[in-house]
Amino acid sequence: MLGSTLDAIPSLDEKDARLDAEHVKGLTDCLLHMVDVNVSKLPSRSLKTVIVSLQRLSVLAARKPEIGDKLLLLLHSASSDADIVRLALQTLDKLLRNLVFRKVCLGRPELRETLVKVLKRRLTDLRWEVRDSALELLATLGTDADQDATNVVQELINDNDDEALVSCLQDSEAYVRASAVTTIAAISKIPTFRALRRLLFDKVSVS
Amino acid sequence: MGVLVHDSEAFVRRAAIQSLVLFATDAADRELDAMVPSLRFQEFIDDHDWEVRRDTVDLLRALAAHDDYVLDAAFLETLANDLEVPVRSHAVALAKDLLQKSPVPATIVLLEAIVADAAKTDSKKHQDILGWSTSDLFAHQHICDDVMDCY
Repeated sequence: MLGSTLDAIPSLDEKDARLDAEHVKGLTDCLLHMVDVNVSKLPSRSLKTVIVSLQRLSVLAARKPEIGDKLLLLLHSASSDADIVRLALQTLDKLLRNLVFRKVCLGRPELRETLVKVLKRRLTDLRWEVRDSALELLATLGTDADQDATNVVQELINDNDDEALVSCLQDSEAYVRASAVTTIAAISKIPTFRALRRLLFDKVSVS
Repeated sequence: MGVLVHDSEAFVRRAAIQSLVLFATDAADRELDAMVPSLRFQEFIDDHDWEVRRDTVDLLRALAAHDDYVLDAAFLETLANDLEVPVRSHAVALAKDLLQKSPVPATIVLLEAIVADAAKTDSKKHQDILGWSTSDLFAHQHICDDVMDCY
């Protein structure tokens, strides 16, 4: 039953005219419940389906800030499946591009704290796909950063002393190096972090 | 690991050059200007990846907006005659910027290259690529002639 329901989810699209707001609300509630109750019981494939569905319905899902809690909970917990962590980071990234979602989610100190811990951990993850997705999320925070997003970056950089970011600039995987450049450039647009430009310039172009 | 503007992967080189474009377009930030001479532009211009060359034009364009930056005419001429259309069209945008700023000799070199190129390629497509009508070209040629008379 659960399997067949999940199998049907990937075919849904929020642009589908057959999906009205009520359908989406019901679906999102259902997905939230599944993540909440069954996260440890669901097989990896099903959990991926749930996260992909949340990503697919992100415009509508962004109206439910509690999704941020669930994704951060998932990301904070130990997971050996790189795909799940990567998908969860990408979904959270997509949701945080919604300024209302971002305001509600990052406006809560406990969620900011969890996000900092998640980013700190995932920027140094052994799997390059995870490091890359963590950098992309950080770049999103640095783009049009409000005070809450700035606080997250500030706490991350204070805790890490730039080490994780610098290390990503020298990553063995090219995608991570490219994302690190883009991310640091985005963050350095925030006046507080302008000093990062010097660091980036040195790494980018000084022989 | 070498510096990122000379990374083994073209998309990393592009990200690195784009970050420099970002810095160069920030009017409030001139701290890095002194470091620009350390950039090996000739290597960017000779890059085998055309997107890197196109982004290099964008970097030169951002730098050219600075009052104290003098573009190397040889760079412009090379880029204006690039094999790839996007590189040439970005070079034309750079030429337009320079014309607005001042009709410096480097711009004349570039315009001469463009006008000569357009003259030997009389297709409409070519003019669309350049983004200039024939009358625009004549107008710019006129500017070139006027300025050339001054030298």
